[in-house]
Amino acid sequence: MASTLRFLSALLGSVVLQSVLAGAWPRTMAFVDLPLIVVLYYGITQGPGSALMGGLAAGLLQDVLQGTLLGLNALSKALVGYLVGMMGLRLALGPALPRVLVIAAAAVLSRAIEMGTLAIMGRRFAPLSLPFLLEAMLGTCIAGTLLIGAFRRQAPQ
Amino acid sequence: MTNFLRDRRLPILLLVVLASLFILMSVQVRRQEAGAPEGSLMRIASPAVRAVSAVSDSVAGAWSNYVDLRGARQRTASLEEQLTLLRLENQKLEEARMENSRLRTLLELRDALSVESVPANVVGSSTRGISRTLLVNRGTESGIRKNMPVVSAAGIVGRVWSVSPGLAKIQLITDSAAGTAVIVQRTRVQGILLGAGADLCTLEYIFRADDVSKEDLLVTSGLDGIYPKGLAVAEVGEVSGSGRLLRRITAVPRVDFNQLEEVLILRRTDIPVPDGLPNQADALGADPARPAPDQLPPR
Repeated sequence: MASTLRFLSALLGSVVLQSVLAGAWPRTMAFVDLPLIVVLYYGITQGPGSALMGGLAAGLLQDVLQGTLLGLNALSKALVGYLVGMMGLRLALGPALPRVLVIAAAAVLSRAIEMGTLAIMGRRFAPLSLPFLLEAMLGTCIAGTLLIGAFRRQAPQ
Repeated sequence: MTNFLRDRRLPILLLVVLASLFILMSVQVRRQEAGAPEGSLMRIASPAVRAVSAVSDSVAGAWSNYVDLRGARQRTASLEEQLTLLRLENQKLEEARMENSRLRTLLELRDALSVESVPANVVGSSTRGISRTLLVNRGTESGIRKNMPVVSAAGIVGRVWSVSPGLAKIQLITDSAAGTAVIVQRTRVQGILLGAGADLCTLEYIFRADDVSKEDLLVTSGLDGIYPKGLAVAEVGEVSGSGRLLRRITAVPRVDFNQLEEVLILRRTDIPVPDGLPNQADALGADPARPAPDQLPPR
């Protein structure tokens, strides 16, 4: 129960922080996806089920708050969370290096899923440039490595 | 069948979630508006969204206020600094304006006098002690010579007492050793104006029968050989001694020596200045052979 509450609080907090910080530093926060980092953390530590549901909840909330197509963030985060959770079951993602690689891949994959979904839905969208994708990957990767490292130190063993 | 579903619970859940989301998005895209699914979700999420929104708004508002406050503090400090600089600038401009006004008056006087003159700034004064002198920033290099008259827009100031390169000492008409030949403008009665020390003069050699009243203007008569004729000098103050042969009359100089900043030195070339010999002015009460005014012993 306590862990579920912590999970929900972390999801809610990340969405709120993303929204607030994006208001204060829009350029910086365009490259960092805090809810995705929380979903990845739960994918690595709790498995694909938690990551799937967490990604769905966080994504829906983010869609409602950001005014994007409802389900877009939910789809990308649920799918990425599930995949990372599945990887966590088969691979050792505890060490720093594989974790960094997974976060980097997840950041790019998430954006790619969003663009792909919009393309499938026939919605017009500004295609993301390679530099932007690289910066987003780098931003989420740095923030994710730091935050997940901090979460793992704080989390009860 | 049950085991099959239990073993594939997560992939099935993923498929259900993805399918639901695709359907949700498809419905939105087709209707081009927030449809029933979004409305339902909005209704379900409404309390949480409102709470989140309230939190984010308050945090964003607090942050914005903090940033504004910091900016306001910096702006205030910057504006105060600018205000101080502008006040100083304003003072300088006001000073320049007043100086400009005084110099313009002096220039008009210079044009009116038809005598070659040199403007000079007062750089020092001794108007409180026994002597009444000023120091001006013009000297021999400007052609200044001893006994040249010194005037301001309000009237005559005095005469050059001593000159050195870059500096001249002016003996004021209120100096106790100074004398000026004057005439009462209204009645043309002549007299000698002697310095009385404390920013005052006395009008001497006025007989009981002479018509002199309070506030009569005294102008230079030109008889002392120093000051050109017709320049304002002083106004008659107290008139007493009506029972005596000679009247006792005080006169107040037109020039306020305590506020004097610029003067004109008239470069008269016709002033006789034989070294060691008294000239006409000295005969009237200002002896150049005497020690300088500030070297006189107290009375």
